[in-house]
Amino acid sequence: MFHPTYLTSVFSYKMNTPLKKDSRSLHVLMAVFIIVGTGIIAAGYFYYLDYRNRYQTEVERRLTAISEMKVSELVNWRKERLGDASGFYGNEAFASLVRRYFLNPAAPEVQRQLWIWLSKIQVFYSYDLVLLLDARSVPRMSVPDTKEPVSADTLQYAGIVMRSGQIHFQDFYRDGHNQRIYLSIMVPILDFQNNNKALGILVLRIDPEKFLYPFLNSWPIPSRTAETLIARREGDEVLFLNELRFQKDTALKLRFPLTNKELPPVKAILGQEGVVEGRDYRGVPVIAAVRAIPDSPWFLSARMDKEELYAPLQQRLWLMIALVGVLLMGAGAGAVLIWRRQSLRFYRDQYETAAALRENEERFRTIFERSTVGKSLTATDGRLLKINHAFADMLGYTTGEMEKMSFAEITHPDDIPASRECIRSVLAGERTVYRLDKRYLHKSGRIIHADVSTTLFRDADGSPLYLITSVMDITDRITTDEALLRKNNLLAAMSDIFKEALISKTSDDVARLCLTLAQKLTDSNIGFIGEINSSGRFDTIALTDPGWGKCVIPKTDAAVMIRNMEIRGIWGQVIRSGAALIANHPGTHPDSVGLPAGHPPLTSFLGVPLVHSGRTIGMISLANKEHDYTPDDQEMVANLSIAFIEALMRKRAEEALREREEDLQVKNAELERFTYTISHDLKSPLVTVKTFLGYLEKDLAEADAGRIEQDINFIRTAADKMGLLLEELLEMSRIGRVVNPAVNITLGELVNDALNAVAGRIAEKGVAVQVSDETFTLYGDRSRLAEIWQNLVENAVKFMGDQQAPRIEIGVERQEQDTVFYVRDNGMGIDPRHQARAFNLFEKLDPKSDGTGIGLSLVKQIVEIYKGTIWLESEGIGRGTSFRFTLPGAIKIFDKNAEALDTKRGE
Amino acid sequence: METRSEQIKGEPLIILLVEDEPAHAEIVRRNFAGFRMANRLVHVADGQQALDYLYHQGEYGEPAQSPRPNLILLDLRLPKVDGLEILEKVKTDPDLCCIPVVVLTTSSAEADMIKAYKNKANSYLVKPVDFPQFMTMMEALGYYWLAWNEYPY
Repeated sequence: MFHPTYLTSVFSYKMNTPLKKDSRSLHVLMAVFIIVGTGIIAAGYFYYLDYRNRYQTEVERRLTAISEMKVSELVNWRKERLGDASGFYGNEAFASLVRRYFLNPAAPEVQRQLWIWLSKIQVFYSYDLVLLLDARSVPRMSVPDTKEPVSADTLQYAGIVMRSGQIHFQDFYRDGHNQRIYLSIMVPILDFQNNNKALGILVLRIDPEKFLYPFLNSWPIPSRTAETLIARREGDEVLFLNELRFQKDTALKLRFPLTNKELPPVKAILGQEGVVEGRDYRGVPVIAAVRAIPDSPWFLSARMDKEELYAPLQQRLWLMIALVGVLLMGAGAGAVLIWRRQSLRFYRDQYETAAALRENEERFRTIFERSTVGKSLTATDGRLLKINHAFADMLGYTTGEMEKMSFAEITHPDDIPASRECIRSVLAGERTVYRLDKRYLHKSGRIIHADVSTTLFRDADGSPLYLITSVMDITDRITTDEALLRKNNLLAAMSDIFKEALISKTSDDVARLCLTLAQKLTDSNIGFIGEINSSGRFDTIALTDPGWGKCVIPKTDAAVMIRNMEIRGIWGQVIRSGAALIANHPGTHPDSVGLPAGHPPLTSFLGVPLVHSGRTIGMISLANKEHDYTPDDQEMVANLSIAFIEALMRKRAEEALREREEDLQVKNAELERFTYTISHDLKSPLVTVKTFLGYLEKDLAEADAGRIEQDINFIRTAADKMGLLLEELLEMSRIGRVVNPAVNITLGELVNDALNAVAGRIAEKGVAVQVSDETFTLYGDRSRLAEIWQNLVENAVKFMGDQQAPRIEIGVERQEQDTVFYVRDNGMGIDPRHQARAFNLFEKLDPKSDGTGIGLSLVKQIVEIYKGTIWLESEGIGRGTSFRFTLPGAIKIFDKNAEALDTKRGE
Repeated sequence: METRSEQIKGEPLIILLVEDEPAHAEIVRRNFAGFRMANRLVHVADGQQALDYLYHQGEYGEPAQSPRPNLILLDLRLPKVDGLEILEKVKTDPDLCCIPVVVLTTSSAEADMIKAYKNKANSYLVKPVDFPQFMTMMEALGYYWLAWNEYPY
């Protein structure tokens, strides 16, 4: 199900950057190697160069030393030889000896002396041959004695020597006879006696083999190619004078033209001195130290083959090269090693990274899949790429279904803008992660509340790849939160109601507040609260104002409607059953009775009864919530209703208390007035009595009969009045205290009682009394109730005035709300200006009339005891008076039909 | 005893007595009758009549029938229109306010007294229960208001 390579590919997307690094490191390594190598080579080279220079210098020095040594030796040798010779030259003794010998060669002593001398010379000075030549170059003596002929070269020079008389160093020559090479020194023996004319020549023959050649051939150090040679110039050629090492038979034989400037001897001959490079007689490159040997025809060349000479150098070079090579190789090896190691490490890292990646991926996959929290990978355009089971289950889809959708399809429409904004801000880099609460839509349409956190995942370049989202289902928590919130709201509402009860004036205010709160708590648009009145009908005590706005029923009719309504319809059902009712399709409810014309339509309905002490006393009715009413709504309203009932009862109690207080105040005021009035009205006749008693006394004294009678009359009247007053006062007070048990009595009976009591007066005045036929049953104190009509009739009779056909009409009117009793007369009426005071205690609008004026006040009191009101209507003087009053307290209802009561008489 | 004004005028003083109790009216009548000062006592039994008299209405439509009183004796407790009301009406009427109004009542209630004075009653007299006292008061009343008190015309 979970594609294994998906995440790998996703994760390893653009992961090849390390390779670049590798080649770079390789380059670096190579560069390092090159540098090191170059360094080594350069070091080696310079070292070699230095060494070579030093070596060369050394070589030159050595060669030069050798050559110098050789040269100096040769010079010395020559000097010595010449020294030897000079021992004889000019040696008069020797010359004389020689002369003597020549003169007498056979002289044995001279011969022997000469022989000894020559032998000494020969032995002493290690000459090869000492030869004495005479003036004719004939050998006269030789040591060793030899019969060898004199060499041609010697002979050649003999003449010159004798002529020059100078010592002559005969340079290398080959003896023609034995083919051997000799040098010789020819010393002319000068006859000092004979003008230094040469007597002869002493030839000192030197065998170069004895010393010269060995000496020349010697080399301080063993060498393969080194040799010293001497040569002399012969014309434009150079003649080698000694046996060469590498070529036989060279002495006095080998010659080269001077054009061969490569030859070191040639170089010497041509004037060069010092260390030269050239090619020797073999053609081999050589290094030679060449010198011209002073005072001789010789040119020395101490030479070594360049090859040999430089062999060490060569060796060195090879060594260097080898070393360098080794070092390079070492460096190279090192570089290779390092590179390999790096490579290895790189590959190992790669491998480890890959392994780690795989591990991560595996872990991720596990976390992703197994998480109990919903997870999703979402593309930046909102498409759901990957969903885990938890998420899919949360929303009731399969993962496959969801992976075809985009996030907008599963998000509640109201929450889409917020989600989009978060995504945008994350993509824009304003933040890396966002978290919000949002609503998803379950497949079934249900709302799932979720706590959502989302991170943006970017690739190595930093460009957005996708969003990783964690989704936690918090519906329960939200539900709980919402429930808590609802509870809070409910409690707040309840406390508001209680507060209102404390501060508001009337219970209607409390009801209005309760309605407002109930509407708010349940999102209802309209509603009403009402209670069952004493007639068993429904009084609305609070009604939604907007209800009026939408309602097109004329206000007057509506006002009438809300009081004393018949209990019916769906809402009636609530009252009848005493149970709450939810009707989310009120039109289709069986109890629906339709709505009055102009009433706004009902889309949903919730009714909750107000129950107090087990009785249904009213209801709260709510309607037109946008969605359906739920049991939660009902519960809330029910709870609210409890608070409301409490508050209402309290308010009512308050109101009752206040009423009682007011009553009490009124009564108190009345009492005060009463007392005041009494004191006044009792005092007045008392004053009369006492005053007229005084007058009487006087008048009796004066015997003024007329006055006496007057006085007595006044006194009597006053006393009567006082008596009457007292009676009626007693009557008044009795009203408050003694109450007879209530009975059912018809109106007719009461009226009869009343008329009987006033019969005399009626007859006296000839008043016609008309009683209506309507039967009505009252429930109360018979005599008290009767007094009402009694007093009213009495009053009517009293104030008939000039009416010729006095008539009194007694009856009852049944109106919508109330039942109104009336007592009408066509008497003198009451001036509108004075009508207000009619019911005041002791108010007598006509002072001439009898009576104390308490009658109407009494009637009012009784009416009020029965919770009724009394008022009078009179159009004015002469227009009769109509007293109307209600006695709701005397009307008892068993059920909504008042007529039914009549059939239950006496119950 | 003759006052200067009487000497000048020689006309009876008209006193309007507003009193609902006939006995009490009789008392006043008897009292004032005894005075040698010429005076004419007009008695009305209720407040409405009093106003009618003062404003020449109703019964007293004829001004000749209801000459302006020099003094009003006013009981407080009256039917139809209350005494205090009449007092107020009189005292606020620019025409009638100069007429002295003496409240003559059985009520000794402080409240009544205050109300009367507030309404600018000129005097407040309480009818005593004691006869001699009442006689003395009546006499004094007569002397004071009929003899001593000067009336503007």
